[in-house]
Amino acid sequence: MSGRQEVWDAIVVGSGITGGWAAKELTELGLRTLVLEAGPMIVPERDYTEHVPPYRMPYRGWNDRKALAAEQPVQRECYACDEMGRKFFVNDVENPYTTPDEKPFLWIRGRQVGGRSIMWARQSYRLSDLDFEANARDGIAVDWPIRYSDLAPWYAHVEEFVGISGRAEGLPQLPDGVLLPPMQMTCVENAVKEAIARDFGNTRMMTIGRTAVLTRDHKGRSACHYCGPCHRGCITKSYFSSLNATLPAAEATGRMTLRPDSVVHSVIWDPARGRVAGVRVIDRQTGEDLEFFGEIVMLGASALESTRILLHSTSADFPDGLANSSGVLGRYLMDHTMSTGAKAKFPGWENHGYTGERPNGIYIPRFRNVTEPSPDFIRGYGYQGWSTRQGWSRGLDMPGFGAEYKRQLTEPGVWEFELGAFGECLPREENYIELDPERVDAWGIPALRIHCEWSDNERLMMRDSADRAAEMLEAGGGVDIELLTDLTAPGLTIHEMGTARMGRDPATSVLNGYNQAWDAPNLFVIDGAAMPSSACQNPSLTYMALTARACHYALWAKNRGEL
Amino acid sequence: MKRRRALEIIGVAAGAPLLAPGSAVAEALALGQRIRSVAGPVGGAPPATLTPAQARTVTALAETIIPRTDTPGASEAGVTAFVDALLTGWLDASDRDRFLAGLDEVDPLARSAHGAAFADCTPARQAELVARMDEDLDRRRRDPAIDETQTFFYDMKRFTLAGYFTSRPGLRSLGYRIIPGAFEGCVLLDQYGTGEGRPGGQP
Repeated sequence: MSGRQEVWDAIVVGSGITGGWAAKELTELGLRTLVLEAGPMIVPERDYTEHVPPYRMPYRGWNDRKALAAEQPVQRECYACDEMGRKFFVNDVENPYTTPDEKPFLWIRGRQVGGRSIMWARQSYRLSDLDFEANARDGIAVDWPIRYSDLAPWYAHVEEFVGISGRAEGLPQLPDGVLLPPMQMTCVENAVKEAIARDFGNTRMMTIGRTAVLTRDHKGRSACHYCGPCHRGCITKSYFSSLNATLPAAEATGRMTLRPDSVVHSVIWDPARGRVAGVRVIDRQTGEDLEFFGEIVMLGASALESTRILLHSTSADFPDGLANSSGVLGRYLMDHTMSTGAKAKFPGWENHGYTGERPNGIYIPRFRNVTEPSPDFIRGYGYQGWSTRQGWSRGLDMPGFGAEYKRQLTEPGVWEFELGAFGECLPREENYIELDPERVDAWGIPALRIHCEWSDNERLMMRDSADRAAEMLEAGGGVDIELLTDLTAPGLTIHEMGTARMGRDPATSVLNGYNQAWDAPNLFVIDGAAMPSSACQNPSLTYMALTARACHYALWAKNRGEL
Repeated sequence: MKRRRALEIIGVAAGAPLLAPGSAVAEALALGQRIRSVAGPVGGAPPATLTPAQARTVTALAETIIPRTDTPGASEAGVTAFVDALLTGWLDASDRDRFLAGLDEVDPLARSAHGAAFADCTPARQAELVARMDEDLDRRRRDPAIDETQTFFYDMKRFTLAGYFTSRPGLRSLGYRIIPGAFEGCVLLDQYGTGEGRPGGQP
């Protein structure tokens, strides 16, 4: 396929959670849309492996650790990069990046049709004006150019299609959305929920997680059957991914052309028109150089990849990267903190269990600096948590062998309940990405050099999260409470965002409030790069809502002749 | 969610002690899912790393740790082939060599105590020898100055547990089902009974 003879109505770069939404919205709005994906095609019937039992795996789920060490030394840090799931993660040798030695950053990536929406953890929460007003209130970074009222209808728009299960709670800091019936809590979770209501009820509460997994059949996709390993795919399409939902919808319009194996090299700038003309592509397999032209270009390659493409798209007009007249492109990188909290054992519930594997946990919405001020830090965190009964692996820490030992291990062990805080990360100029002057990837495109570290605000917040978690578990009857206080390196939460932020002023931001580049009206960045602050909620739902909104705006502006 | 439960998910059955009612497998098949094999079943091929004598010892040790009762034991579950696969492709050379060196001490121990190779001892004498190894492991576990994980018997026990409880009979003993079909958060165990009285359990 040569793109030279054709000008597409729109080109979408990336086929993950935002690229899929752009494909669906643009094609349903009537635009002939080319979707470019750097990685290979994924065919669910061939590539999903969620029902492969452990005894069919060469290492029984212990993974091919030597192959991981050689090919995926970074990706293996993610739990989902397992024996069956690791094919959905990039090869780190082909896809290098660098960091200063003292600032490790874990960049977890998926390059295939569907992107990381295949392996995402599916938690879906709205932001509120507590978040949209945060930068303005604190006087840091730049103010969001939008407020909750701008995005609320678009949250509803995407939720209605995605299918998100959860419970409406009426909290101002965690607006309710369009929700399918909630999943159940375990006995122990119910006990802790009641204890929180009893002892902390004025300021805190626990709810079931809101997750993009269907609790009833929805728009041609089947209700969840609770098998467990969602990150290996889902043949019943019970969880939302672009591969399961938005790309098929786009395909059904007859207006989408999906081209896998298309590594975008750069965006083509047309200085005469003051517009972007299309994209340069390297075929992943043949190495052939290609060009595709479009009237609109939307980058949804993931936050750091989209910004990397822009940094690499240099011209006389933009020597420091396309759409970078402000000089902030690449700056204000964020992730969420994830690894702190507490866990405890819960004796007394030995006669109770659960059936199936719930692809979800519980959620304790943010209370810090909402209902409980903190003297030590700004912003806050929410907890995700889960309770389980110990399995057979506890046998390794027990003396014993033989028939009685075997019998004991076939029975479930003690209940454990862990609360893990997801904390807001402040946008800071000194957390940034740039093109590495020396390293290139397997296609000759400069690798990123990532400079990112937590600040004191995150450290103080996360220390607090351990103590607050412990007191709630204790209230619910937890014993042997263990504080979790070690912060993992940024990146591992896989909520990396920022680096092409939206704002109100072209001098201090890359995008306007419609994800539209100030410097190039027909260029949009629709993924997490646009975020001016991180809030503490899992961000994918917000990316989806922003993308849908940007697509409808783009058509409106195009029809007015503004693109 | 569940991100940090990764290691438990590895075992799959570790957190799934109970069963859902109903014929969810049939439902899933009706939905078009094929339960597929991505690798040949473990077992059948001769060991790649273990010698025949070493394989006999591993089999006998594993069967002593997880014996046949009213359900199959480690031997029938193919634990020896799993251990051989780990030794061949999974362990680093130093860890493999430590395991093999420890394994090669088992028969001399059995011979000095009972005048026969471990695999040729009676089950009672095998249990007596394994009890000594397990007591030694427990002593190391209790000593904060010793890393008990760097010992042969720790690995032997670890590989036996994993090999057994991820095998078809091991998973069946846990009541594991590939497709539970429902999630019920808070149920009384008595509702479903225990052991072989559990419904389903046919992966």
